[in-house]
Amino acid sequence: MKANDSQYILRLYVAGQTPKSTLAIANIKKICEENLHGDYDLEVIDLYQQPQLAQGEQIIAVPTLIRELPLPLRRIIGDLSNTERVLIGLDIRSKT
Amino acid sequence: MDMKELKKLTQKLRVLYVEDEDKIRETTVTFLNHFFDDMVVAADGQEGLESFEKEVFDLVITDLKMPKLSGKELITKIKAHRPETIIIAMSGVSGNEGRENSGGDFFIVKPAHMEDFIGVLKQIVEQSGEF
Amino acid sequence: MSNELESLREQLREAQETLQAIRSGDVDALMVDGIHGERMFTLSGADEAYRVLVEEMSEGALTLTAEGTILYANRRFSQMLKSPLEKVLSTNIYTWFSKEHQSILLELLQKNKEARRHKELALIASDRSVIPVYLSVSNPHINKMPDTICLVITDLTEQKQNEEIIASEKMASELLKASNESKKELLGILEEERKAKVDLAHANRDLSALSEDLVETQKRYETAEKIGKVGSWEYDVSTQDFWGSAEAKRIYGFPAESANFTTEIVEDCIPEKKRVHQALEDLLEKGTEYKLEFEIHPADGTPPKIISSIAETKYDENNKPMKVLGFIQDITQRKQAEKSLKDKKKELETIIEEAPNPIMVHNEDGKVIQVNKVWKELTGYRYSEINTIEKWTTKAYGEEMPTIKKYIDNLYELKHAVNEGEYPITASNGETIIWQFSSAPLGIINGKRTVVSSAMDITELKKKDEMIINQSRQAAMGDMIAMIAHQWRQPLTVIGMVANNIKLDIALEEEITTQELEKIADTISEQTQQLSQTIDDFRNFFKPKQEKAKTTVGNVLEGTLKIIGKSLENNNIAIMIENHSETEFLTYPNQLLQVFLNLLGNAKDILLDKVVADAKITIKIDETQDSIVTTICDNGGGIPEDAIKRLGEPYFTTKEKNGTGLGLYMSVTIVKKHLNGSLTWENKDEGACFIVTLSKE
Repeated sequence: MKANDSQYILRLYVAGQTPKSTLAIANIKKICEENLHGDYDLEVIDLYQQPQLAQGEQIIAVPTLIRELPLPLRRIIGDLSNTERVLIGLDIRSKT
Repeated sequence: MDMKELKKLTQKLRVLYVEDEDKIRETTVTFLNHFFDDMVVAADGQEGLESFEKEVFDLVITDLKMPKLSGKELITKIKAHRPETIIIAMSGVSGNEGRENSGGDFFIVKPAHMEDFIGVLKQIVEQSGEF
Repeated sequence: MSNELESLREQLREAQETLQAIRSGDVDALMVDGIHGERMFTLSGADEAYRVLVEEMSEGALTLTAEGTILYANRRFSQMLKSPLEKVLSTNIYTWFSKEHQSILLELLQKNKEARRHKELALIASDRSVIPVYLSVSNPHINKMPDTICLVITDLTEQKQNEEIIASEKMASELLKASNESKKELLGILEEERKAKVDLAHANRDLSALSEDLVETQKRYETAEKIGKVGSWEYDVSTQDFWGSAEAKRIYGFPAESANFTTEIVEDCIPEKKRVHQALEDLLEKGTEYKLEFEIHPADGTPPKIISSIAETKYDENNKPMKVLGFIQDITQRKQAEKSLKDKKKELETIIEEAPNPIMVHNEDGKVIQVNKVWKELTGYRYSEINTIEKWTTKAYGEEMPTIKKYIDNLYELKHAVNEGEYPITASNGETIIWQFSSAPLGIINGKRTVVSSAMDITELKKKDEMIINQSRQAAMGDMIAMIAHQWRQPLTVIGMVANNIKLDIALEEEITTQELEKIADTISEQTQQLSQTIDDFRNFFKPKQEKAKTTVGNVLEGTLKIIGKSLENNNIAIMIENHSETEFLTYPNQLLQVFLNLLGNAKDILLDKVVADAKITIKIDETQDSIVTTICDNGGGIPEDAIKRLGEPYFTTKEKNGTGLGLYMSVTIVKKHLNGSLTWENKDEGACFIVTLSKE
């Protein structure tokens, strides 16, 4: 599936292998697989390696997840452990 | 003497003719009948002997080779009984053999020629004188 | 306006959120503006994972300055060096390597190399033990310290140990193999040695045996010379000395030990010494073969002997005649034997040559070794014309040559004498002579199987036989003609009489009627018919070609009776026929008729001779499985005892008159030779019976 075709384009900014970062990666992966049915494009950006990328999105706290598409932009900060909050935050209709 | 004269002289003779072969006998009888009025014919030696014993013959003409009683035997018997009988022996055996042994007075070879017969008859007639 | 408000509200919300997240510990890193751009500020344990990784990994990890000072080392490294970390940090890396490895290490750590560098080296731990290691170098380009070198060290000890074990194991097996090889070689060598010893023992044994043999041979040689009466001699070309063996001396009549055996003394014994000497010279000068026989007068006065002498020249290295080696043999006896053999041979040849019967000696090579005088005389051929079997058979047998030659070829297989029978031979003058041959094996002469063939000339005999046959045939013909004459006499007589009758009628001038004439004509016809019939009956008998035809005995008998029947009737001879055979068979009817005619004729003759009353001839024809038997019996009193045996002989007759003695002989011959049967006779009842047995085939 081409990136352009996906309904959801998500970007997760992490800080290398800090505990919260690794947690956030695992969590978002799980949420996408269970709710987005492959209709998503997820990018993990390690600001520890490329800190300058934080400027573009105005990232202050890490990890931060940005929903690029569909507009408007949504931002969720944290390790994404609270699945409910993530779904609401990203405006993803739950499976039920 | 001519034939007719001869015939006259022979006619009165009593003759016995013996011959076993039928056809020869027949034809010879025809011949002899011209010369003899009184002829007895026998068909074999035995018959001949029987006839001879019954009557007296002046002349016997006989074949030599015959079954039962041969001509030669017959001649012997006749000569024994009545030697004056004149005998002419006839045979197919030519040569001196037959002539000498027959016992007969005259011998004629078969097949006989007329002239032979005539010659012998003439001699007989002359010999016996005048009848 | 509301938009601005909305956006502000949004920003505020986000800031609050962020603050909240920070406070709640949901985040563990912050992005801070630094002098050189965005920087990350981790809150807690951001590096932990990395740190743990590096610390706990099983490789040693170091960071070094360009000079080699250890800035950081992980736990593993300090373990490798068997030294506490504080003793490791800040030390110089080179100190932990041997002198030789230091230079290598230096090269490895060259800052200029971009790629990762690897090398196998060895650490020297604090307790002086040597640790084999694998180094991996990289230049990480850390911001703060761009010259930092990163080192990853892997401990190869275990690996090395394993390698060693394997290597040593390998070596051990190699050694084992090698030792086995050597062992084998050694055993091989020992075996060879043993064998050599055995061979030596054998050789020694042989040697002693040989020398024994030599002595033995010498003795035997001398004995051989003595027995064979052969002496050896030598003539030395240079010294002209003559040497002779003991036997040679004895032959010449000198004592065996006599020292005086010179050329002159020897030559004195030889009357022909010039010839002998010449032969020796020829041998030496021209190389002519030396092989002669000459007479010697032995020195001890014994009778002269005949010597055979052979010799050869022995040459030296320059191919010059050195010696002459020769043998002499006393062949006096042999010569005598040869002479007497020759004499005997001559005698034998003379005997054969002068024998009264033709004799030929020939062998399996087709060579005629000898033909004697009589053979040549009778055939008229010279020896040179018939000196091979091929020549002889071609000349003598003409067309029959191949058959006869083949037959002669088989004679060489003979084991005993055989009588071969009669053969017609063409003599040199073209005439045919008939010889009866017999041959006998003589064994092997000169390596070839030889046969002697002798013959009896029976040409005359055969001619006589022919004559007899002709005579009897003539006699038979005579009989036949007599019979024809007899049968013709009667019809002729009748015709004659008929003619007489006509003539008489004419002479007596009596009339002949037409009927009479007709009768006469009939009679003449009848009689001429009979004459004709007789001719026909006899004609078959005179047929020139004798052909085989199928007929029955009954038929032939009928034909016979046509001829002789009347005669029998005239003579009062009764005939009785009992025919039990109707079988047709292949035979010569004419010849059989002749035989029957002869037998019936004989029966008639005897019956007439004896003047038998009730003369009777009985003919019985019977059949067995292979033959037809005809028995003709008469009651003529039988054959006299002393005549029975001789009855079939030519010229023998028991008839009182007119017996030629040939008829029965002919009949016997015909039945045996042409009709493949037999004719016998015996006395039976009141007369004799003649039995003709014919094979049905």
